[in-house]
Amino acid sequence: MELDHGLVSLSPRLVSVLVGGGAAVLVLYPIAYLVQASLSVGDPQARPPEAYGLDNFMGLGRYAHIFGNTLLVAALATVLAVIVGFTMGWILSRTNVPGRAAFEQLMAMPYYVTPLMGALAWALIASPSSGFINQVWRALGGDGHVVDINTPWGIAWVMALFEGAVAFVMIGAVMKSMDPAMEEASQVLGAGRVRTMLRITLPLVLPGVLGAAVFVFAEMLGSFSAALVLGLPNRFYVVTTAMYQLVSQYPPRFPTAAAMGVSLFAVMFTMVWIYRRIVSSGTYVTITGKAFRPRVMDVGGLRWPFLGVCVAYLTVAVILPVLTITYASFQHLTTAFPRAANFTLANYRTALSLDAVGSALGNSLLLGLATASIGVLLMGFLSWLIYRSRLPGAGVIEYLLMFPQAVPRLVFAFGMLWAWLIFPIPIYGTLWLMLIAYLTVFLPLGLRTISGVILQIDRSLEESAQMCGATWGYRLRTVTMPLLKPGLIAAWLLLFIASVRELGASILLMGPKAKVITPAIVESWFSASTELTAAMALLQTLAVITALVLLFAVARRAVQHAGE
Amino acid sequence: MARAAIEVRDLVVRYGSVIAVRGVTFTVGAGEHLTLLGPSGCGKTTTLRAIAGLEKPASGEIRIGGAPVFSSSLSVNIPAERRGLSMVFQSYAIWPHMSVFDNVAYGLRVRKLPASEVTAKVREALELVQLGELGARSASKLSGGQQQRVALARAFVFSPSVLLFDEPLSNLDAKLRAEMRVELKELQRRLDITSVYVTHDLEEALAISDRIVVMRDGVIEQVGTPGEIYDRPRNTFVADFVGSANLIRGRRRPDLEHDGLIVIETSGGTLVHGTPSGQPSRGDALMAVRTVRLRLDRARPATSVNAWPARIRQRVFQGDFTQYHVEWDGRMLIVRLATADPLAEGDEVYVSADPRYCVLLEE
Repeated sequence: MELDHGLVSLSPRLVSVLVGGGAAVLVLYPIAYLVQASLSVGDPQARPPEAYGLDNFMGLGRYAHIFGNTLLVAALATVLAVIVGFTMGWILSRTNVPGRAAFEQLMAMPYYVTPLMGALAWALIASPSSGFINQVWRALGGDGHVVDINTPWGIAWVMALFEGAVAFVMIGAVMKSMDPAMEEASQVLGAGRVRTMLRITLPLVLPGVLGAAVFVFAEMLGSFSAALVLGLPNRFYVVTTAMYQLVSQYPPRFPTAAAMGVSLFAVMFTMVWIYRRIVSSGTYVTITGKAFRPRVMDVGGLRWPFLGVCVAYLTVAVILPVLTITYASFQHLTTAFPRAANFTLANYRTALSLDAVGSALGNSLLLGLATASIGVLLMGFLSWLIYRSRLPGAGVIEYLLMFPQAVPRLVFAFGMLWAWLIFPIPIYGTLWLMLIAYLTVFLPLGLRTISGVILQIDRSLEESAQMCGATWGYRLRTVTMPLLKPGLIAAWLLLFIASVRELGASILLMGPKAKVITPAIVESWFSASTELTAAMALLQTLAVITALVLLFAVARRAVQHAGE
Repeated sequence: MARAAIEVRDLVVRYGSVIAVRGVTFTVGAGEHLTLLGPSGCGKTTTLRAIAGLEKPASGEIRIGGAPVFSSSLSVNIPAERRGLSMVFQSYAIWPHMSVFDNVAYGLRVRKLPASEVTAKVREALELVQLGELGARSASKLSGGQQQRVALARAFVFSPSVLLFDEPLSNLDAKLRAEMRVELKELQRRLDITSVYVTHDLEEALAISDRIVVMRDGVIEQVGTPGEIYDRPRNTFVADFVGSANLIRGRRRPDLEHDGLIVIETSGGTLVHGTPSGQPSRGDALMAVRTVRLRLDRARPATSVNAWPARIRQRVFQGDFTQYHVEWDGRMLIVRLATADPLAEGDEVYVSADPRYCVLLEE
């Protein structure tokens, strides 16, 4: 009896330690190799390194301009994104602008457009030579170009349009969670509307805005696709694109790239740490977890200009890019002036006939399915482990698992490249390696989504199952998992979409026999025609939507069968 | 149903550096209904959760039915699901994704009972909590009172040896709470099961317990029957927490004491006769008299001791009783009377108290 009970209480702990430890290895193993590579000062191709030193870091001085570029683009984009986020957050949560509820839903759209789509579209709209805007300008008799997307400003613009939606979610949440009584108290005491805004509202939301700014800045530092698509033609590099260039050129310069990656990682890690400090500091007292009905201000005639602002943002961030890509995909040669003879289906025929597209798309969907399904199980279990099991050291495990958030996916993939090359099981260049990479880099995404739901589930729901005599496995199956279902479905969808569209990690890890779609799109952008690329991008989006619709139909039927 | 005695010895529970329970010892007899009573943060819920196995104590021993389920010296810690107890949670913890029937059947299915037996037992349990018709309903579509009943049925349906209650009525409104209190007591008697009940509500504790353990800051202040706890508080904390009491400070006058009565003299020179509770203090002493144990009369009552002239300063009508603030011995006494005949503010009256209800507190 005693022995038996000992085993029973040991097993969850053992499983927890194994899974938690395993996930930690998944995260730290590539990082360790990244650091090792950055310290290699012998022959750059030698594995393991012949000698260790700090020379690679010392040599980074030559690339100071690249770090400068990165900071410039990230800073510009952050300012823009925070302005967008703050404006939209304030309009949609605090004013009586028409259609608020609908707009709030629509604010998720820019996230689904992705920076890559945005960059491709805005390259078509605003590139200096053939961009639509400049074509129109010249047709009107202008000279040269009025806008140029292939500049730091252009890159920042595209990134800000995407990241503005993220800033909106973060800042909007702060504005909503503010107790309106604080403002009402100010007005009752005789302060006018403007004074209340300046002395009460602004100071209260400031920590939230600051937190959003730091978070967005960290994301921008590690962003890749917009800088690749828009920067490469002008040889304008940021750290991530420079790393990609160093690794993919011949001969590759792994140690230098690694040193860059480690430096970027250090900066981002600091930023994320600062963000956490801001969020957890006492200045956040307005966030009580209580649901307030935010006080909606009647802005009178200003409602219509505000409505215009909302429409304008969604236009430049979503509608315009999607229309542009769609339009281009049906053109022989894209110009700002549509002609009937210029319309064609040839791009789709070409795209579908390319084996690279067919197999890459198939691989991507397969990987998406696998990543989402395994990811939900793994991350669901990990979330439960961290937030519910009271495992000693759960906080440390959480910290480790959220680590990839502070590492650009490209940098992470670089570590994996280095790490799995020497792994005894030959998975390098296969989809397996990419599956492992996706599961690792999307850990924070999945954990955040699922833990949000876990924390809403009262602990007593599990404890009462325990008091009814259910063992931990039985509890997990009958109570915890079913309650988590909505969160798990949401996490599955996010993981699936994110995997199919992943670029930063895939572009380094993809093998010649295991291609995936997003790097193929980028490849086509640089080596084939713009129109073909547009068709591929749309096909990717269509494939994602079709896959989701099919899956939902199947899942619904399965549920109905089970219910009968 | 099975009845098991519980022994808790030197129980200490820590949350990090905070000590929530500091060495608590008590026993619950087989079939007894014990209540842990105290203000929030006193360690009562933590103690209950330690018995349940949901909290791991730092040291001490807990035995159920004689067998240790936790013992720091024997390094035994049986997980909650194997202790054979059951519990009703403050939040009810009704699983919203299951029907009422499935909620109640859970513990039976865990124990792998045949389906026919599960159905029979669940039906019987639902009848007992007067929810016979609701088995098929989704648990998320229940009112607070109904959820409470489902939680109860779920807790006792699989015949646990002990039933634990963590403030089960605190989320109900006052009227429903009073009804449920009676129903709960009836159910307890019917099931004839050992139970440990946690509450901060005095009336609840008095109504449903065989014995009450009053706790404060992780230690036990007093253990006794509801009558003892109410009328014979051991110290100021219990006197103050357990309903309203007047505290009277004075000096012991051993020279005047007789017939087992104790006498104190207030600073105003008034003599009060009372009886000791626990270890009576010497010299300076404090006496407690419940507001409902004082009497007010227009004429001097025929008692030889504890009758004093006083004046009514304020009258507060509160429905079930009237509260009088009476000027006595240079201070205010609070008296609660249920009589219909109202005394007016400013009236000259006599205050009197039976020495049995004037309790000398430990200090």
